[in-house]
Amino acid sequence: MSAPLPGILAGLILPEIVGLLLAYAIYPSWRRLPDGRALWVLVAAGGGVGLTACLFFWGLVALGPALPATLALELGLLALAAGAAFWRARRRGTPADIPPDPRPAPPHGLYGRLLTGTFALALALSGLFSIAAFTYEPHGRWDAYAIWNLRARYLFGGGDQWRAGFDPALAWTHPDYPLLLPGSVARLWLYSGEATTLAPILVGGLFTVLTVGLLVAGVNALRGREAALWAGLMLVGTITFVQHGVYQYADVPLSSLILAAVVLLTAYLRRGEAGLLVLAGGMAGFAAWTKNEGLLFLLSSAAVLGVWSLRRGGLGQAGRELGGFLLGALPALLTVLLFKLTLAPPNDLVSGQGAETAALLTDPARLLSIITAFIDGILGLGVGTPLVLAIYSALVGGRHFRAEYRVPIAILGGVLAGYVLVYLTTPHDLAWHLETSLERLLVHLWPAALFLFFLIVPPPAEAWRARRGAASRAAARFS
Amino acid sequence: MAGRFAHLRVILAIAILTLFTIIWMGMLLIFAVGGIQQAVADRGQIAGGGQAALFAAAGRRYLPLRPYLPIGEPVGYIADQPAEDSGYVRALYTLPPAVIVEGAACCDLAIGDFSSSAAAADFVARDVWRLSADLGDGLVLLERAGRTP
Repeated sequence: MSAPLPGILAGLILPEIVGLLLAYAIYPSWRRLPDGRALWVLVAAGGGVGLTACLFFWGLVALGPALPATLALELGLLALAAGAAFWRARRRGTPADIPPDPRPAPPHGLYGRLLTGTFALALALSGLFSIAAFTYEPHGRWDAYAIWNLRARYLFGGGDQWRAGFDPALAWTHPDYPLLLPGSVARLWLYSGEATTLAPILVGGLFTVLTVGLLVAGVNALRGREAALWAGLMLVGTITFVQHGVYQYADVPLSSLILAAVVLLTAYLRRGEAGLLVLAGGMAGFAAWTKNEGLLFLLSSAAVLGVWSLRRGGLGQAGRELGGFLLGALPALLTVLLFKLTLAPPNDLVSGQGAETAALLTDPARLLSIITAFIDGILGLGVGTPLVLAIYSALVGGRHFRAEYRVPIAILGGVLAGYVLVYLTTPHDLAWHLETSLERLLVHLWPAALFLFFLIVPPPAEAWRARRGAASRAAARFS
Repeated sequence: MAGRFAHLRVILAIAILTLFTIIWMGMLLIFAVGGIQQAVADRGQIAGGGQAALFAAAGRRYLPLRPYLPIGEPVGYIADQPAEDSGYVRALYTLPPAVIVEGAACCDLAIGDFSSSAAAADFVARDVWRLSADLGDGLVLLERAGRTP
């Protein structure tokens, strides 16, 4: 297992450097966000993996699966990214003066130590669980070796015949699914020279760690450290999420990219810096290159952002903001188009539509069973985390709702509505389809939902301080 | 009075969140210990069980088939095991870029994955397939009788 490690590490470090340079070139003001450098490193990691997975596919189509070709293309990308970062560093003027948001004090004393210690312990326990699971299931669960890693094996080991992996005879392995995950794994196999299980394990582990890191760094940047630690705790405590991270499925990578897009978009709406919007578009684009559900997220994001901008600033602002968002998404969007138009067979959910679709759409019993399944699924996620958070929110009060939060909330709502529509019209048996996929769909949105929850609902110490403050003000009024 | 209730509500909210965190931390601990136990158990029986051993064995069994498989033409897969116990997915996983399809209706060539050489010979004797290559231990490449090579 140790022989391919240097190649794999090189294949992981290169996207991170490309990501750091490009994320700086697009948005050079990371240091002006509270603890923004952590966010920069994390966004760069996800973006770098996404971008190299897109480039890998273009190289595959043009030149076939060969390390020299892949390496040459990636070194070219690295040079381009370095040039862009250098150009940005030289051109950079005085950044706009954006007043920092008021931030509550970080947790301190015994409570601060307990909270940090509990988060570290939760990370250690989920890390132990993940290492153990990777040891006894190094090829992942069923979808990993029947879909994602299988496709990677065709891309890596297929030689001139790599397109055989998209043969209609293999329709049951879903050859229409986008290739960010198989492409990233096959790319690492090219770097290491063999199809070692280390590559999908590291990619799966990387995206799981990235998601937790992005959630903590995102909430910390926009809301404060206490809320960030609680958000991280709740995500790590959602055992379903940790489990999906080690299954080597594409669901956690997708949830990570959705979260990154939501964090960057919320930061843009708060600060108005165009670079954040372009990066949010980039992450949404990479989500579309991860799973078909990511395409739905990209569509929902573009639609909600367009309507929001139109209502706030008219056609001009809508054009500028939508343009900036789609500019970021362009590299991935072009890659998805190339894949869908030239290689991917029809999707089973789309090609399965027919005369009975209208009847399915208007069947109230079907809709009711879908909504019931969604409610059950949401409340039961993890060990009932959403239910506990809903009770906590109802009791604690004192929410910090800002108008711009409507945008990410509407985006996630749009994706959920899309999922309901897919279930309504599914050509498969509805009960089977819900049973085998609903939990994974909820995992896609869960980290972003936690991000929004902890932006809005105060964490315990802050709620306690606010309550005591309100009580002493009331006492002062009466005395 | 209202202020006291608000105070109590915040205390209750914090208590619920704290209690919940303690509960799931306990569950995470159980998951981690369970995972380690399973990993250790799999290591102990690495020759016979465990996913890594299963896939390694599939590699040893199916890879010798590769030179016999056609390029750009699907190949069927027939086994004498029930579908859920068969090695179909592991054969598919081992043999890219070959396109292997479960069953044999599709194709003129099929992999025969039998529990023994005798079972493979028995199948060839009573069906419309003839033996194209015998890789031993019940693994054969079959050709539809009457197919023009």
